Amino acid sequence: MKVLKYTMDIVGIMVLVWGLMLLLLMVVEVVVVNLKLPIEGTVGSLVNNALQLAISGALFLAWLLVWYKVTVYCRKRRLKLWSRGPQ
Amino acid sequence: MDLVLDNLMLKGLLVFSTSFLSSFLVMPKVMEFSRKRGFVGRDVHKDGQPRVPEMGGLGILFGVLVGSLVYCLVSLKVDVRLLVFTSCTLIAGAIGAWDYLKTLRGVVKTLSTIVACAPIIIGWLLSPSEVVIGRPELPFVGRLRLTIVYWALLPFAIAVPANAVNMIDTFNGVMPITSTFSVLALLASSIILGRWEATFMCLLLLGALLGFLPYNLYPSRVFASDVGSLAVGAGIGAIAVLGGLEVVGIVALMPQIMNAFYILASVKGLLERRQIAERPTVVLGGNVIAANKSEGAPMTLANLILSRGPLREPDIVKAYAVLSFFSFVLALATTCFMVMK
Repeated sequence: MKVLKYTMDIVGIMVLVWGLMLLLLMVVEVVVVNLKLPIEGTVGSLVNNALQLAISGALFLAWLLVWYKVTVYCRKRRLKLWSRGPQ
Repeated sequence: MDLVLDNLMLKGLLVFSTSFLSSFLVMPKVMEFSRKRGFVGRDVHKDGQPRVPEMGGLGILFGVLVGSLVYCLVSLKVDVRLLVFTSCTLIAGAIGAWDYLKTLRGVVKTLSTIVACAPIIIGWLLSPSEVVIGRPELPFVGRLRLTIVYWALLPFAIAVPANAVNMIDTFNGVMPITSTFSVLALLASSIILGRWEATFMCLLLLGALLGFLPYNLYPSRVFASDVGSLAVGAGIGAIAVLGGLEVVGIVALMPQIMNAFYILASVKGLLERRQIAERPTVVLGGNVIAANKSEGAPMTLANLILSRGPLREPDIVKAYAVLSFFSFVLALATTCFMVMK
């Protein structure tokens, strides 16, 4: 039971990160890959690929940032609980 | 005598038991060898910091190698995918041995594990009909339309899990326990999706890991060292790529990836553990360990677990096991969503 108390909010982070990862991959596949600027030819293809890569990269970085921020918040909260606790 | 076994279950059982027994039985010899050669390390989380033989990973590699040979023998053929998997594992193990003997810098070690991806690329070039890679499968959506990006990310498919498993190997039994859950998740997924070659690879690695586990459990009689942790991580990465289970692999390795991500984000770079001034945890005595509350301490999964209060080492290991169990459940859920597409 003690171990579960120590791990439950980390499991929560895990589930959140997992859900957001699946959502992110689906958004990239369904939305971002289908984004096309009305530019024809090789240049158009290059621009479109670069745009898709940039948006996917930005979404990926946002995912990592959310993950890190949630963890830092969670750690601070846990440290507070520890200092308030009987130990 | 006909050695060809068509029964998948019988073949799987044979492969698993061979790798388990060879890893389990060779371990006392590996421990003796390590002690004689002076390959010993201090168990820093115990009172008195006892010296423990390292290089236990050699036993894991031996188990994988013997299991692969038995698989080829009973199948009467050399399976290219299994050969690729075994090569990735052995190369990563060799890099681990090199790192152990020469103490490589963090960046050099991480970059050198990229080499362990070479068998996959060579296998694909020589036998593209057997080593089918690319277009990872996603729940609900199906196969992703990643082509160039997939090839750009492929070298990290081995390097990331190898280094993530290496980074989590900090307490007695944590590496084999967390890796066992990851392999079990890949095993279950490969069975659900009918990727039988991946099933055999999982059984090989699982047998070797379980053969090593009793020796590494608290209080450890042997450490896997970089030889074992890099090899196991590379093996898991190879199974994910060769079995088309990339997304499941990421989810199955969640505790290891979380730990690696926290370290990289908090120390801001690839540093070897000796290069990091402060430890993420502090030993309070009586085998009780607490989180290091200092601002300069790296944030690891252990630091996060212990941020709720100090724990004894066996309880920390149990916490890792709980997290790994949940990542196993999430990996299974991911597989089920893949079937539902």
